[in-house]
Amino acid sequence: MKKRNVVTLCLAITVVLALGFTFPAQGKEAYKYINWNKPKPMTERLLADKYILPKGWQKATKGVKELAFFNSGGLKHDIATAINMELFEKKTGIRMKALPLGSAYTFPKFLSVVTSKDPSVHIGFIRAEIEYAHVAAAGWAHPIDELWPPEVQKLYSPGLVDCINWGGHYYGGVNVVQWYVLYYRPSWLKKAGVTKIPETWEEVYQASKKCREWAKGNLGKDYYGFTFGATKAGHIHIAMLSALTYSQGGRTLKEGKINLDTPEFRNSWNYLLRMINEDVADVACLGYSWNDYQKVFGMGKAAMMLGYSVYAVKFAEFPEVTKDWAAVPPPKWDAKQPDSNRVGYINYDEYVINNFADDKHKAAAMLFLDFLRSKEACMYELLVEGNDSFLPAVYEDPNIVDKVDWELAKKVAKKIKTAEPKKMGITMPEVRAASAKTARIEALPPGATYVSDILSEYLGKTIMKKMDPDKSLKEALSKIEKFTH
Amino acid sequence: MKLRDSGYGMVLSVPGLVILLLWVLIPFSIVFIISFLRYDNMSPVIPTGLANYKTVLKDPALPLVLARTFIFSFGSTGLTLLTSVILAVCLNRIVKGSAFFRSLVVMPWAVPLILSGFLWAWMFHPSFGPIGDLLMKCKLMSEPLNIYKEASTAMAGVIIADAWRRIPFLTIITLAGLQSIPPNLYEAATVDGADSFHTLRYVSLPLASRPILIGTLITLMFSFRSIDVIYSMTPGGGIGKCTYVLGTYLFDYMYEFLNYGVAASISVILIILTFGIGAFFIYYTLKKG
Repeated sequence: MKKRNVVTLCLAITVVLALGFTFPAQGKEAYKYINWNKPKPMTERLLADKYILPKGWQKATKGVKELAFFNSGGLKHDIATAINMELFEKKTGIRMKALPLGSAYTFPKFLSVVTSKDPSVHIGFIRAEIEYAHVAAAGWAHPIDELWPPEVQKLYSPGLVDCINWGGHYYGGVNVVQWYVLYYRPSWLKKAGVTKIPETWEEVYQASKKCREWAKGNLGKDYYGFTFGATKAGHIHIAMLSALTYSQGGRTLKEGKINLDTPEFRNSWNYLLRMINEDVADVACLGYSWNDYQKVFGMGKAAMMLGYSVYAVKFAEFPEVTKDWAAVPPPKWDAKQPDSNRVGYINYDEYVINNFADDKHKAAAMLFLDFLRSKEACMYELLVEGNDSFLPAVYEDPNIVDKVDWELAKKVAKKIKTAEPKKMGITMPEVRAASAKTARIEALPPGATYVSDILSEYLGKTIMKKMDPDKSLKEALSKIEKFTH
Repeated sequence: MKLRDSGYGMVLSVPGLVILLLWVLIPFSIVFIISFLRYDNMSPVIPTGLANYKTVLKDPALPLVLARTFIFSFGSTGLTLLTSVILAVCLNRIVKGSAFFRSLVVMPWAVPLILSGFLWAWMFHPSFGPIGDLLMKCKLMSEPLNIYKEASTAMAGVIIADAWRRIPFLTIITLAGLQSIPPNLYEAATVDGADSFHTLRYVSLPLASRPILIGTLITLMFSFRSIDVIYSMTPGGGIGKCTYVLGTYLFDYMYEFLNYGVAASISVILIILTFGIGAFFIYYTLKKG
C-alpha cells in the first residue's frame, strides 16, 4: 500500500471514530425517547381507567432503579401518594423513595439540593402560589412542555394550567389539589330567616349578618355568621383575598408582576375588613390557620365559611355539623355576573423535577408526574384520601368507586400504619366539579413571601389600630411598591 | 507554680479547646461570613459588605421589633423570677411529700417549648379554648376571651406561656440556693424576733441571691432569643405583628424570605445583644460578689 493511501485510511478511521464518539455524546436526552402519544394519544392514556405507559419509556429510563422525592410530612398522612407509589412501582419496576419533611422545610431543603446541584433527589415538593415561580425562574426545575400539549391542557382546570405556565414553559406536576367551596349550615340559615342560599359575596355578607344577629340571642356571643382564615402562616390570607379578587374578574398579577393596586383587590380588602369591623366575623379570624377555621365551623360556631372541599370529610368528626351542612360553589361578586365568576382559590402543592438530575432519572420523573395526573392516580387522591381530583373527569364517572382497588388501599394503609380507608362515594361531586372549572391560583414571583407578610401585618393593624381600611391598604401598597421596585 | 505544670495543664486543655473551636468558633465564623454576603437564593452569591446590616438597621420595623423583644424577655423573666421565688420558698418549707411537690413543679420542664406554645395556644383559643369557655361559664366574662385582638393581651399571653416553661428551672436553682443556707441562721433570726417575711427579706433572699441571679441571667438570655412559644401561639407575630420579636424576625428572613445574608446579620446582632445583656449581669454579679 502506498504511503498516501495509508495516511488517507488512518485519517478516515480517525474521522469515523471521532464521529462515533461525538454523536452519542450529543444524542438526544433520554426523555426524548418517550413517545407520549403512543401506543395511544396522550389524552386517552391519561383518561383510561388504568394508566397506559407511553411508548419508549423502557429505553428512556433504562438503568433507573429508584426515584427519590421530597414529601410534605410522613406518608402516614398521605395514603393516596403511598398507593400511587406502589402502583407506579408495579407498572415500571422503578422504586419510589419518599423523603418526608416538615412542611416548613420542604422548600428550603429543595433549595439546598438545587443550589448545590445535587442530582440525588429527583423530585422536589413546591407550593404553587409562593414557591413555584421562584424555582421556575431560577432554572432549577426541568421543563416538561412535552406533557402539556394544548389537547391535554383542555383536560384540566384552566386555572391550574395557567398557574404552571411560567414564561411559556411548564414545570409542574401534581401532589395535592383542593378547590374552595362555600359551606353553610342549612338549619342556622333557616332559623335566622335566610331563605335564599347566597350566590354573591354581598348576599353572603347579608346572610352572615342575619345569622350572627340570631346567634347572639340564641346560641351565644361567640357564634358568628362567617369564618375564614387569614393568618400569615401558609399565606392563607392571600388565598382569601385572591378568591374575592378573582370573583370580580380581577387578578393579583400583571405581566408576571404583583399588581394589587386595582379596584378588585381594594374591594376584596374592604370586604374582609368590613366582615370583622361590623362583627359578622370574629376578629380572631385574622389569626386562624386553615385548621382553626374549619374547626370553628365544625364545632358549629359559624354559619358559613369559604373552605377547601376536603374539609367536608372532617365534618364527620364533629357531631354539631355532621348532618347539618351543605356546600355550593364559591360566590360571584355581584348578581349581574355570569356563573363563570363563581371563582374560588386552589390549594395546589406540586412536584417539580430537579434540573440537575441526570437525563434518565428526569425521564423516570416525567413518567411519574404523568402517572400522578392520570385518572387512575387521581381517583385514589379523591376517594381514598379525600383530596380533590387534579383531573376533573374523575367526578363525571358514575362508577368510579368500583374502579378503586380497595384491597390495595387496605394493604397500603396497613403498610404505612394508618386507618383503613372506608369505601364511600364522592362527597358533593357536582359542587367540586363546578369549582374545578372556575377555580384559580396564580404563581406569585420570587419575593412574594415579603408581600404576603406586609398584607398580613396591615390587615391586623387595620383592626387593632382601628385604621381606615383604605388608608391601611394605601400604606401596605406603598411598602410593597418599595420592595418590588 | 512550675512552668512544666502549666504546660501539662495546657496539654490537658487541648481537647476542650478543640471542642470549643468546633462547637462555637466555626459555626459562629460561618454565620459571621454569611452576614457579609448577598445570599438570597435569587441572585448569585457575592460579597456585599455591610449591606445586610444596613438593611436590618435601616428597617423602620426594627425599633418596634427590639422594643417587643425587650418587653417579652423582661416580662417573661420577671414573671418567672417572681413565681419561682414564691414556689421555691414554699417548697423549701414543705417537709411531707416534698418529693411529690418538687416533681410537680418540674413537670412543665419536660414539655418542649414548641409544645408548650401549642398547649397555651389551644387554652387561649378564642373559639374553643377552655380558659375563655370557663370564664364565660362562670359568668366572669360576657364576651368570648380573645387575647389576640389587643397587642398588650397577646403579649401577656405569650409571656405567660414562655414563663410557664421556664419556671421549673429557676425554681430548682432558687431552691438549691435556699437549701444551702445553714439552718442556724434561721434559728438566730427567729431568736432575734424575725417573722417569716423578715427571715425571707434579710436571710433567705440575700444569701440565695447569687444562684437566683445566675438563674435569672440564663432565663433572660433564653427568653431574649426565644421563638418557639411565640411562633406556635402567634404564627407570623400574631395579628398586626404585635408579638413579632427579634427571634421571629430572624426566622422570617431565614425560612420565609430565604435571605440567608440578612438572616445571618440579624443573628450576629442577636448574639451581640445577648452577650451584652449577659455581660451586664455578670459584671453586676461579680461587682456585688
